[in-house]
Amino acid sequence: MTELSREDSASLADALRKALQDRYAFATGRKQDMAAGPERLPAVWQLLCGLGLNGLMVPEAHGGFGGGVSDLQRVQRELGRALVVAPWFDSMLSAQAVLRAGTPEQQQTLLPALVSGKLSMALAEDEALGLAASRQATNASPEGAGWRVDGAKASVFHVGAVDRLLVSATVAGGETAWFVVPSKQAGVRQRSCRLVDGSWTADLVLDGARGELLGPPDAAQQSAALRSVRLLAVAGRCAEALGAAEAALEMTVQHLRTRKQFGQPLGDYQALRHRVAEMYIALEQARSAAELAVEAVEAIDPAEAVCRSAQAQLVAAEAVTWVLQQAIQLHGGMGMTEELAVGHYYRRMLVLNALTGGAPVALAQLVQAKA
Amino acid sequence: MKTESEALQALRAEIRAFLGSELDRGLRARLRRGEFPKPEDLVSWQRKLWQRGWGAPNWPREFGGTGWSDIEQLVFLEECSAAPAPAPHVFNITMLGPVLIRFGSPAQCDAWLPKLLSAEVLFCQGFSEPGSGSDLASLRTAAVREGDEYVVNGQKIWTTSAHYADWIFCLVRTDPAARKQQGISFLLIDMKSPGLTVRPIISIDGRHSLNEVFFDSVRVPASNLVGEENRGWDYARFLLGNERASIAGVARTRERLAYARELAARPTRNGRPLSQDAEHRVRVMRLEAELEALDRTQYRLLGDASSPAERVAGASVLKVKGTELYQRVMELLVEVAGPVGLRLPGADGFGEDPREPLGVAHLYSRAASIYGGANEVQKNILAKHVFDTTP
Repeated sequence: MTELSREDSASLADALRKALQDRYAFATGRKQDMAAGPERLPAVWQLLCGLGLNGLMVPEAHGGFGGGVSDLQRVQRELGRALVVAPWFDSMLSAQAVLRAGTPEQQQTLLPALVSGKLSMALAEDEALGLAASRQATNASPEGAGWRVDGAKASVFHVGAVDRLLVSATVAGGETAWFVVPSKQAGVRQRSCRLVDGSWTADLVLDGARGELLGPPDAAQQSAALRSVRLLAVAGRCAEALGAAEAALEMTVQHLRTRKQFGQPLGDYQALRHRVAEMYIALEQARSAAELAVEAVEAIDPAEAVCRSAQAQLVAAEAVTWVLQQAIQLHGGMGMTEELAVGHYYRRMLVLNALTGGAPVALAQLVQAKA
Repeated sequence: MKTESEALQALRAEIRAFLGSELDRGLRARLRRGEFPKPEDLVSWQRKLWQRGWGAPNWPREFGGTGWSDIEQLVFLEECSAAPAPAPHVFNITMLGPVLIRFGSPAQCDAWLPKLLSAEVLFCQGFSEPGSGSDLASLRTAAVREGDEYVVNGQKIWTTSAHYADWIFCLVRTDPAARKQQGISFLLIDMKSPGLTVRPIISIDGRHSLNEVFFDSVRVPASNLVGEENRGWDYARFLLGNERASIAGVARTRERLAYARELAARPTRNGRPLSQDAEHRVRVMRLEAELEALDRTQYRLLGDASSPAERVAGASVLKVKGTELYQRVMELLVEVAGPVGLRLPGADGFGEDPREPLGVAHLYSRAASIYGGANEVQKNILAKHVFDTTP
């Protein structure tokens, strides 16, 4: 995997931070964006497109920057810090899936559109779980010149706003393959809900949805692509969590410096100073977790990749969740208000944990891998 | 060792039977899902308790209470939490009633206690201020005596249910010159008074239960002063000390853990119930063990064998450990629920899936270690106790 030069990557992150500070401030730009319904791409999507970020990890041959996982993490850290809610990460992962599993024709049609931002995509991976019902599989079968996809997917992000979905489904023979499914068609039904981090998700019902098989029907290539996209997803989410924790620690320190009780700033109390020190230690662990996630992406041995990725997820989830809980605690009642950003970092982290399965799923993966 | 007398067992059975027949099923279901009770739920439930003679478990009989001991009150709260049912109205019954009984005039008791019991009026609590959280005694809302009235100016914050309460009991500063604990008075104020405004605070869970209350030259009859002028701090400490029986919330946490167990028995994303996952089971068992221990701590500290100083320190032990366990269980619930449990309510509330409100309930649970004396403050109290009493 290629990556940007250190200078290019840093200046991209700087430009992104500045643009988000100017146009996506928590109390103004972001707040306006949050008022939009589930059918529209948020305004911040245009801002990210304008910076060319959709092409971050797409090779130059397809119009992208040719960046690597470290570049992805720099961007994700900024998006985490600014609490960005947009289908950017999903679209980026979809582009990687197309790059790794798509046919040359699919790459030529989909990638430039994804890079320019004309096309937005969401990943529909998890199977829907009706309450008490057993798992509902999603199946695909050839129909006419294409495929039909039937089943259900739970909590797919940004479905209402994006153009296409990348749906994983089981084909004859029991293998899993990806299908590019237009999101607006009679065969795709959805009910949108807002999650605590402000993002829109929907439970999807796929009922004879028309789709196109991604790539040639090559099971080995498909599953390798699926694995590497999952590793990238963990690396990106670790970095997003890290960005959130860094910002929350800064806010907490500023609060402790200015808030006075019993005649002195809270920051003078040793108990609270020690807590801040522990938060800083946890943050260093989260930074290292993000590094582990990069090692996972770059690992040659698949078993090592799975192990490093799960270690990264475990450490990042536990460290950042704890840091964000403490950030609220040290803000006192103010930390409990919707008006302050500090609680929103925690809200986002709950969603990230739910998406990845957080520490418990990472532990289960490690137990399985080392068994 | 914890053994329950036959009389206590009989009381427990009687309470359980009452809850079984009287608690509205819809309300029970909503509380089980993790939703807040509605104002009308609180009123109708308080009335049912009152009609049964259980409107005030913590008041003496002669004032319309049950006359129950601390342990009997605890049994009652345990059964309410397990149902789950709302507790008796916290501001009317747990907080204000005992203050009026102990420090109020006979006329105030006659006027207020029946209305508190029957929920004819609902009170809210005006203690915290923007500059006075943990350092409550630094509060600045001022009440100046003019003839037979007080004129109140200032602001309260984090006022739960102020948006529908009829009255507010407030700590106000009546002597700005005195040492900070000594110039505070306890005043009852009509929420409909001219000059009083309420502004909502939307909390981290996206819901509205908290408020700011502003007082702009609000005129309050001097007869609404409780007890003596400038003794309000003593009354407030008495009030907060009365929360002992409910402070650990063991039964509430147990009920949440039971619910987590119920949800974990359902299949997850890999098709296997979480309840079969070894790591999950270990966590549940650990929580169960710690809750059992906290339950015994609570009975020991509320029992007759403990000294007054041990009881004060005990309240801090119960608060810290109780809220830590509660938050851990609420964390477990959100994990069990997955993304479905992180939904915000739509215009017409939550959807059908019972897991939906668990995320917002979890978010709100982060307040448990902040309100009612932040856990950091409780640890200061405890540290002092340990150093003062250790030979």
